[in-house]
Amino acid sequence: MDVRSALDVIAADAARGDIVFPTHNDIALRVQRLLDDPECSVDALTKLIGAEPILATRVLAIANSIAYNPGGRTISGIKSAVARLGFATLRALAATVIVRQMKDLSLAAEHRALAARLWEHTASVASLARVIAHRVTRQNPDAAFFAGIVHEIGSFYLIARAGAFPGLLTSDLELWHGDGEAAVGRAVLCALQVPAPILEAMETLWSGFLAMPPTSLGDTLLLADQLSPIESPIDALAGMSRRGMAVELELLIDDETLTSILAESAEEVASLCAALKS
Amino acid sequence: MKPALNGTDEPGQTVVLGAGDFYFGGGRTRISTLLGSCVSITLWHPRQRIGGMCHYMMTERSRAPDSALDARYASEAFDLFLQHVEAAGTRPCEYQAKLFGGANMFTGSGGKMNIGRRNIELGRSLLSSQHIALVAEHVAGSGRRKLHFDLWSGDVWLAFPEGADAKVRNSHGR
Repeated sequence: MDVRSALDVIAADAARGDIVFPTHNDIALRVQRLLDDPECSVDALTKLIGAEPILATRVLAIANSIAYNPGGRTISGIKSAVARLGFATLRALAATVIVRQMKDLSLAAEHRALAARLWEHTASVASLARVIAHRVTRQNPDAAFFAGIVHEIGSFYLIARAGAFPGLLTSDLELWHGDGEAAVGRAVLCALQVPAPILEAMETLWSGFLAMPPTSLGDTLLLADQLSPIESPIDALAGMSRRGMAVELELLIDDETLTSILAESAEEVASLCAALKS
Repeated sequence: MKPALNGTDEPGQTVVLGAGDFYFGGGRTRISTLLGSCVSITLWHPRQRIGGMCHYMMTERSRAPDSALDARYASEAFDLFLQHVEAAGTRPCEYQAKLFGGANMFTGSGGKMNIGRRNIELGRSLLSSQHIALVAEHVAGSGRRKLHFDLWSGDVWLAFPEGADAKVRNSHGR
């Protein structure tokens, strides 16, 4: 298997914009565009979201999670959920539909299983990133959540295209963690018209350098990625598995430690993660 | 590989520390190193904007009283720190410390505490003995860490490739 040639073809296709999203992603993309419209009304948004069952379900699940509903007042209407979540969170949730459905593009069972594990990792990182942004790096939690949702989008695309390159995902994917992931990720994120601050955070992620202590949105993403208990299955394919040896990462944030903050936030993270995986 | 440190200024000089090296200074100096089971401690004085980094390989040894300090050993690297801190007219407790490295570079290790773990524990203990605040640490795990420390700002950047066989790159890095 010529891994380099295969990755070059995949990256070139992505750069040309040859990215085929499932047809039911159309509504999710329209939701994203509507959110960009300064005249966007809650009524129009509610109607559009209601037309996409997967997105509607996820909007309600997240709105009722502990992270967004600490008081425990359950709501069942999309309009109330939209009001509770706000537009920034809705943007992230529209992205979850797109990313999740990318995982269903694969025809091979083993590729679908790989994509399912990657989604579990994604949900974990996004949930952690939101808490870290709020409590540690003082970044916008909704932006961090969004960045977490899309942070493996290049790998989802890789899995979706792997069927055309037999043996690719059983080869040494060291080159993927070279320039491959960044090249494909950039192209897919541009196709999705992801906001500039998210792209900047992704560049930090791809550069791999975490500021200690972390401060930026990119640091938030890197930190969440390193702290996530669910490893990316693509890392294991590239010989970069943690092999059960977790990193010990500690920071002093004002009078608190990172460990204590994460312990306090465990329920919030778990609720978000569960809602994303539902 | 040129480090891709988003939003940072370029250093005036870069000092690359190998295993057993030590550097203390100031100005627009970036100290860089690559760690496996070794440990680096960075010390930084936030008002004076001076500091240093060590890169020790082992914990300690029996040393003859008249022999020179050897920064390959944690206890002696720390003594070098204390000498420079005093020479700069400062006190240890005025510094902020960060601790990195101590990875388990061997898979399937048994119950015996590995060298990385011993290096971590002694680093923490030495800092505590001088009441130096440990503000950040990124230790253990498996794989190498690439570290950059800017003396003019106190900023530290770390790339952590996971996996015992991983090269110098992050799982998401280039």
